[in-house]
Amino acid sequence: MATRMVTAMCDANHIPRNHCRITYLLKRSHSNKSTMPFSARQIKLSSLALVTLSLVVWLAFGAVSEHASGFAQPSPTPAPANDNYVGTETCAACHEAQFKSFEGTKHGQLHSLESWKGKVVGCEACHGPGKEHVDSSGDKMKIRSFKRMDSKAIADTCLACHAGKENHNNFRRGEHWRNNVGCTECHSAHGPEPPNFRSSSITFPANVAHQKPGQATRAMLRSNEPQLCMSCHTETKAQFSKPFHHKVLEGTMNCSDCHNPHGGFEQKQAKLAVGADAACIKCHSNKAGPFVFEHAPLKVEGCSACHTPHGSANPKMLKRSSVRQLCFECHSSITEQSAPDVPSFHNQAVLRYQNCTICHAAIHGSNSSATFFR
Amino acid sequence: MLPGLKSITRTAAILAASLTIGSAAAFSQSPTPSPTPDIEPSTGPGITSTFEVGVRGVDVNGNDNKYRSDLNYKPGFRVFDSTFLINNKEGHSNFFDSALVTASGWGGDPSGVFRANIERTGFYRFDTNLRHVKYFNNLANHALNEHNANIDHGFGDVDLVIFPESEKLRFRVGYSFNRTGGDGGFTTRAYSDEFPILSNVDTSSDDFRGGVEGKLFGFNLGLNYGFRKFNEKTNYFINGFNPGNNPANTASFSTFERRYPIEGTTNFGHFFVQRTFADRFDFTARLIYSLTSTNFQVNERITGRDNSNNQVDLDGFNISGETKRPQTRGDVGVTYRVTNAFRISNTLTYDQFNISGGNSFFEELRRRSAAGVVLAPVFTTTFAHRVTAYHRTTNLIEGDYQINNVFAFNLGYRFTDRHVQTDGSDRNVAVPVPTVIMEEFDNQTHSFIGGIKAKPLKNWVIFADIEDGKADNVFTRLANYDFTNFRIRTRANIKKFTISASYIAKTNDNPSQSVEVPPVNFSADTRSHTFTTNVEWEPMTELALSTGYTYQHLNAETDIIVPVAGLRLPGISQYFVRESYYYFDVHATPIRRLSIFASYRISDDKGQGSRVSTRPQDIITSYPMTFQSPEIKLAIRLTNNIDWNIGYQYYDYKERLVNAQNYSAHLPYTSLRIYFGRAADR
Repeated sequence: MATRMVTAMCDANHIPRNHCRITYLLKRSHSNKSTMPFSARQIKLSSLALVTLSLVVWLAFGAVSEHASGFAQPSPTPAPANDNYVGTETCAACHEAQFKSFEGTKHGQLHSLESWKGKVVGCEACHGPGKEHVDSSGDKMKIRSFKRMDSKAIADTCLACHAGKENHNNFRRGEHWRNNVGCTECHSAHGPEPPNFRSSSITFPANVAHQKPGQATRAMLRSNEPQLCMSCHTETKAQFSKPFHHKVLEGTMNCSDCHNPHGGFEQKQAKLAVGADAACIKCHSNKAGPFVFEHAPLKVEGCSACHTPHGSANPKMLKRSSVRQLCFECHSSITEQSAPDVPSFHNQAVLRYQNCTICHAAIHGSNSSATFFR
Repeated sequence: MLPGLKSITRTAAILAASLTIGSAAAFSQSPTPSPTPDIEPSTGPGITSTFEVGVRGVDVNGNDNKYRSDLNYKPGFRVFDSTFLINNKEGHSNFFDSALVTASGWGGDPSGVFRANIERTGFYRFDTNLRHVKYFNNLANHALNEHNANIDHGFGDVDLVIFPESEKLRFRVGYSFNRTGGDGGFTTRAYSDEFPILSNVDTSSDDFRGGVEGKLFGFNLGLNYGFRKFNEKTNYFINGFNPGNNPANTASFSTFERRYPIEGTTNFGHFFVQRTFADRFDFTARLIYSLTSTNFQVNERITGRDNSNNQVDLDGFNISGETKRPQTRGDVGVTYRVTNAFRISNTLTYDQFNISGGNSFFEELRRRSAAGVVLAPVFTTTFAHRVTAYHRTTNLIEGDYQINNVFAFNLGYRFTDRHVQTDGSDRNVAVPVPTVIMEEFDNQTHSFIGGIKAKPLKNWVIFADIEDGKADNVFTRLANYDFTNFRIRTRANIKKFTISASYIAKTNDNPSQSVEVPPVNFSADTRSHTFTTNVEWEPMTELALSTGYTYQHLNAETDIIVPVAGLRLPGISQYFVRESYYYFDVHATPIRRLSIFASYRISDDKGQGSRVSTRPQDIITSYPMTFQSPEIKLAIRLTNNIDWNIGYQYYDYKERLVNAQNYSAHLPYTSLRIYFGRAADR
């Protein structure tokens, strides 16, 4: 029924069927009856504070708006030059719930961009041409179903469009790809599930399903950080609950501040900070140096040589509860390394010598003292 | 509070208030909302906003310094977990398609965040992320309680991408800042003694970045340039006479002042290229070059008494110099889809840096003997130069095969070649021959990786992987070591249950030999096992339960050489973790107007148990403690748009150590949570 209506409306308006958009037609038919609970003016007034900021951006780049339509968009599949594509409106006739959820996503809005006109958008951009599926009265084997695809095949489908940006370029280099964790494990291409209100902690911000509507629409994530990551990396919740920890559960930091969920060339999918510095240096800039007298492991092994970055009961998130213990494990007459021995007068039977960093205070590196006194 | 942070807080408060007022104005003119039978996704049109402002009380018993070092919640007002979303689903507005602002933790919380994401599809995307942390550290069991901090750390990022969805051309600009300031305690060494000193912490950095990305001749390309300017302006001083930590000598400070400004810049360029050929062959490469330069000037002045009871009229230091660090990072990765089930990949990375720096050291020492006789001044001039050179090449080749929809496996081999070299010289103008330092290390390591993914049932998945071999970058020792890391995770959804479990085992052996003759085997071994399980159950919309348990078992044992009473004795360093973490959360809505959240979390580390070191050369440690926190919150729906929250959280921390720093804290809380727009449909 819906398909026949769409076809008739397209024919009446002399619109080629493979370019017909029911969404566009519905908008036209309802243009005088706003489905929005607020008028455009009310929205602008209520967002005045945000608009001030975005207005600066807009004014700065306003002249560029005329050029926005002139750029080609990625084409994941060949443009629908044939009749094997039936259009999203056909899919909506049977898959109404998914369509309703999908049309609010960025994927669902591509049809409104001038540069995407005539290209495959909507459902068939990911699921492939739908004519056979429709003609066979919905045979699931006649359409690309993500439920039947392995995670790498799913990732290949998404990367056909998304691989061109640096954030996603290296997904095939990362641990998620290697361990068969695909895009749809974290992202929901049809849009997030409707929120389900729950009361939650007074200390830790809630998951997206509770009191935080819209946040997961960023990048169409199923949930928000860190709950999304902890749904698999369950051991990290215990780590971030230790007395000394990075403020991830409190919402101040995200997992993606230090890790690139889309993989990368670094181990543990760590991000780089400025240039090629470790992620730690982004915030702890005063530890980066370079120093005249470097504490070599810091640069060669990284900060995790001495610290446990998620959380620890030990002060300063050190790997050992006693600083001298950490020092002795290297500075102990080992043939294969250059760590100098502890001098004999550092009598460990005396309390005064049991706190190495009291004297060797500039332990991350020094410009003035080879023994890190200053 | 830092001036920058005050303005951030003020700006965030103004924005939050504007959003509230604006949202209230918008909402007040809307038709009376009524609950809709079909709850539409939050991506629907209009405003969706929640804003919570509350008041927290704090009552701490026990060690307040430890409480502040761990938690640092202060009494007073706070903004918590607030969001504001405008989503123009119906076509495009002139300004944006969606604007999302989230804020939490401003006010009495020790950390807070303000995030804004504004975008217009196809045109721009704007992201900003402003954060603050009030860092307090005053611990009796770290550095004799003389390395302390009470500082504010404010940091943030602002990024703008023009034409983010464009394949052909995209522009990026960004800015990040980092400010740390406050009071701190530190130490310095002089005259065979150690002196606690005070500091005004002041560090900052500003990053600017910009770039262009796009597609050219079928290749996705990106070129970005960045610049960081950083400063360290922390000063050190004392307030009055300072006798030092060592009562056995006569050294003392009458005055002390150190100014140690460091200025530096980093310039970096970042280029990437990517292309997928014929949907089969993926190629990606990256090249980063950065150059960091610093210059510094140390001015230090001391008066007091040295360890020979001489009066120090002036011990002045002027140390200046500069450092440079060029760094190059290149990576190439290829993946070839041989068949739909079989892929092979190769990843080659190369990392190289060279840190070179030198200083000119000048000391002027003027003293009088205890009897008041002026001693000959001592002038010391030295020049030091150091170079640390490093390069590492790693190649990982791997293949993965999808047998069927149920089972897949992957195998790989990683080779790493690493070279570390330190060179340098120290020259004292009074000594004609400089001291030359040269050390060099090369190692090559091999490791094998393998993994499987199994999906025995539609809603049950198992991941497992193992890596075994020799590698660097885990232990504190630089030598090769043998390691085996194994990990298995499983996750299942059974009706309304979600069950997940994982087990991670890490075994590392680092064999070495001591320099003694005959050499003694000197090993460093770490065994770590972590087991975790979580269960979530949502039997009905009004009730959700979540519970989990994590156990970490860690033994680290390292042979060490320890000086004791002038002798160098072989000893052992042992570190233990026996930590159980347990949590239980309940979310319930027994009646429409009342929602309840209750939670209990406990970390209990048994540590080393009854093990104690019986010899001075043995160091056996752990951090046995319990850290528990029950919490309860009632959310009472006053109207469709306002909830009144009443909450209480209790923290209890106990250490099983000598001079334990125990505390307990009561944190009652009340707040109003205001819902606007679609958020009221809850």
